[in-house]
Amino acid sequence: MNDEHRGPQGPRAVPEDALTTALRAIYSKPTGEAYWAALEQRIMNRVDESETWWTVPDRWTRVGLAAAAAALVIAGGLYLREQARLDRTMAYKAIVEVEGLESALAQREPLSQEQATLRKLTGHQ
Amino acid sequence: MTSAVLALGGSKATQATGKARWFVTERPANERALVLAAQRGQRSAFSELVRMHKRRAYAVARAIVANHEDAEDAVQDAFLHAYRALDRFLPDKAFGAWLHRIVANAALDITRRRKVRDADELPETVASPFRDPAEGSELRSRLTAALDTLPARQRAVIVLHDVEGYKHSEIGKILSIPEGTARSDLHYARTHLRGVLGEVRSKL
Repeated sequence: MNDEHRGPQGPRAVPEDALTTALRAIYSKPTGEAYWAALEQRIMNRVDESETWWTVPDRWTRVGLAAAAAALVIAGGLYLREQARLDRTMAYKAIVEVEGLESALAQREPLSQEQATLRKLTGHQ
Repeated sequence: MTSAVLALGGSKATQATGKARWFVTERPANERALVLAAQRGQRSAFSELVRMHKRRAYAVARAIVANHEDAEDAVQDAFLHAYRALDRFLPDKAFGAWLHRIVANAALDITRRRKVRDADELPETVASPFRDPAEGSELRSRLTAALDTLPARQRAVIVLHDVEGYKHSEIGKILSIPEGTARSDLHYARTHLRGVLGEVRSKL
């Protein structure tokens, strides 16, 4: 165990006077392996409790964020492609509709002389 | 975690000779492997780190907070924080030194919160922070009261130095203060407490 009490035999001898003795009595660590095992268990229980979906470790947060960013980029690309396709369709429809209207007008009966004069005067072809 | 147990066994043998003891800047050979495994998400590796460091973590926390219960809370908070921040820890550094700073911060945080809470409570509910049944002597109770009057940092410095055996430089790192400040805090705290001790002794 690497965290045992160092005590006065450590590399730096602590002066053992009345004050130190009294302080050591006040700040003595709990004894007994059962206490430390229980504390260890409580620590690990808290660690386990913290492992919920909203507090996943950082590495998973980063993976999640990267995946979300990639999904956003793909969705954006698909949206732009769909918009371009819709624009092309609309333009095509507009051309077809204009052509259809012109041919419909051409199929109509010829105008009388009066109607032709009136249309010329009002500027309509 | 067989390798860890074996390595620790060897370290224990070294300790028994009295030639070498653990320092916050030193670490067992297998600690890096444990940290790396814990960073990969291996729960048992982190559990082993907890097992290795819990006593020292408690000692650091106990030096700063006023009682045993708060020290326990600080240790638990600190290990949880360390677990969450494990990705940011560089495995080549000493885990103990890093952890002890986290413990000190958790303990100082509890001390601050307690100060605010105690200020809001009625005076009669603020009992002696120490609930040790052995506490009965005049000297001990006076010393306990005198410790309470010391600023938290000075109290932490004298306990870490005189009780736990940390060096000034180590205390400086744990409490994020210059080494010289740790020295002067220790001097002030000793002078103050020795004064109380002498006063009690002269009365007895």
